[in-house]
Amino acid sequence: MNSAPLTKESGYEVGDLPEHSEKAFPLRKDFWQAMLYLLPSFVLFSVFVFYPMFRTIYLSFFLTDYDGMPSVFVGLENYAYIFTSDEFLKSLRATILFVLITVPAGVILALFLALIANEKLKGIGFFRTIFSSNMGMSVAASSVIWLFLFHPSLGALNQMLSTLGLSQVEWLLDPTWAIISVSVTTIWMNTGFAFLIILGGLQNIDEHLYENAGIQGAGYWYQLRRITLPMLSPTMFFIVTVSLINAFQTFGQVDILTQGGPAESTNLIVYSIYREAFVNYQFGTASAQAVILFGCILIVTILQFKFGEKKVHYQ
Amino acid sequence: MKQVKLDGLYKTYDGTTPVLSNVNATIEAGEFFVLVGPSGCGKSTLLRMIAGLEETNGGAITIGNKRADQLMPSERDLSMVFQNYALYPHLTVFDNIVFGLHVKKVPKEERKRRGRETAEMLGLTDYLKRKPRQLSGGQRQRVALARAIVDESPVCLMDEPLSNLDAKLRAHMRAEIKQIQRRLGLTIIYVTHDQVEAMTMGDRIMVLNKGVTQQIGTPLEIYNQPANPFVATFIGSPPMNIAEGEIKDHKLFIEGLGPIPLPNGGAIDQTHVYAGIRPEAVRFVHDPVREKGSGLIEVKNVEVLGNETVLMFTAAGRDWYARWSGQWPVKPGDRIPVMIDYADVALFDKASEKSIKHGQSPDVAAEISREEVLL
Repeated sequence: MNSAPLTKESGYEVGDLPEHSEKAFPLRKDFWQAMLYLLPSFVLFSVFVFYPMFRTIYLSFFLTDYDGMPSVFVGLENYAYIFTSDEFLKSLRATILFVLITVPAGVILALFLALIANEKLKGIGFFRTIFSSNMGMSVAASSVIWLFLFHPSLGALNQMLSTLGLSQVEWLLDPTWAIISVSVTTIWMNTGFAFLIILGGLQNIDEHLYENAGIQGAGYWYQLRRITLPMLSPTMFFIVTVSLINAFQTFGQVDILTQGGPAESTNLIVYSIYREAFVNYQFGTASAQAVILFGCILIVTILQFKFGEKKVHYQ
Repeated sequence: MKQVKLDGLYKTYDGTTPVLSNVNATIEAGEFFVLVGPSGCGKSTLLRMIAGLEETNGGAITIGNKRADQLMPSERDLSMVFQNYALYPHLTVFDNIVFGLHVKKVPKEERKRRGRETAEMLGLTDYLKRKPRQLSGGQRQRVALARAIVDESPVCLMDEPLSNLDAKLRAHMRAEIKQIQRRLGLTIIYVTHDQVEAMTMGDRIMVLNKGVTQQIGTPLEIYNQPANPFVATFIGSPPMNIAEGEIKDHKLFIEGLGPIPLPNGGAIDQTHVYAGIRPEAVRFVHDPVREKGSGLIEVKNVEVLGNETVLMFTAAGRDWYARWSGQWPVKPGDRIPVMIDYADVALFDKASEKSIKHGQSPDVAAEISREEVLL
């Protein structure tokens, strides 16, 4: 118990409240106190998010020197330039293809793993650990593992194909296969996180709902369709949104596996931005690309909320 | 409507400690059967075993004429109401009610008709389009009931269905469930830890403690003729007063009270007993000198309830209660002469805890025949 007398300074003296609320600015002191609490995150966000964001938008209207300092104001010319650049349009197409492959496949795979790992079986904890373990692995490490698997002659994948008597595949060297290879790597890397979140969502569903359905005669698929999936919809919505944003921002595995090649088939937009800025020193056009990427993610997310959320049942 | 037969049921979780052992009961068709006991006594486990949600480790369950303990829950032809109602939060009230009919592929028209009829019976017609979260606790409870009875399963299991409601609503729903059961002739097996629910709703009651059946009987049998001190103290509010006693020189001695003389010819073999006395059998005496079996008690607490007064005092090292009708001007600290009639005392053997003698039924009402009342 708090035995110290409540004083004016504490701001919570009994009977003080009505008088307080009659004043013109009743929350003035509380407001500054709240601001003080918000200050650390406000500073951090400003330094690492807001300033870079506005700087990027600013830079996208300029031609820059090698240090990234604005030198000539060109207005919307950077945007006009990249939208007529084959390289950028190709990158945009590759990104969209990549998103369309990785997001649905990744989410469905994670859902499947979570459903089987949610069964009450002996030793299921082992599988839950395994299924979520790649969450603890860095992008670089997992990319290197896949680099070995994809190796044309020594890689395990091609070894398997030749054992089965099939012709070998140029996983990272064939432009059609390269985007699939990068997608497979990405799906594998993201599964752990999505699996864990979906498993959490599954375990949040009241066991009694299934018991009641069981007594009333509902089979597994009926329960999955009419209980599990609707009850899981907030979790699925979250995972799809996060996966979409992540897919648009893929960088590490492209850098390690393909460097955007072959023939720019895996030159995803963030990698394209990186090359434009730090290989070609074109900070202006790189910034313009970044702004467009931001716009894309924003639009997709808004559409998600506008149309996807209607199918979500919050409790 | 179907009979449910439990035959030597045994349940263990770790293979050694029994959660339930040797549970036998026959629940007649159309009977309201209450399983009552303190928390952790195994009553919910027993209900879930009947439902098929828990495995049976021994013994047999027969529903109707069919051996059921190896059947899937869906094959046992019963419905269940859960303590937290287990409503589907994403479905409307109507869809919740007809969930089971939808599963069984009952035609749409019939589904509609039965859903509406049941909703009407429970006063839910105005809420059919709402989601469970838009309902009050009492309304949710009704939806859960509706969902259980719309299936027209002959046996309905209820696991503490009223424990999430406030006291007033609980009393109301007690009567309502009882009425529905009578109207539909359902066999209901009802789990509760509340002895008031058990007494007021059950046709018969099974009292469980630590996984062992203590007694099965009608509410009045359980109240008037408790089989052991546990049943005696569990049923009744305030509970029956229990103390160790000694029988010497044709008298019953209880610490803190005067010796209670045994009537002529009322001798019993045991010396060491538990004596049980209902609070209403602790009577006030005007003339403590002349009355036999009287003693002075010091009042520790008084609860005046309007139509009755409950006194708490200490005897034989335990809290005892006396319940007198009317409003008594008594204060804590008062010393009051009371007496106990041997006829009101229930005796239990101290070693085996088995009943030796029942106390007489507390009120005159028990001596009036039904025919006299109906006149």
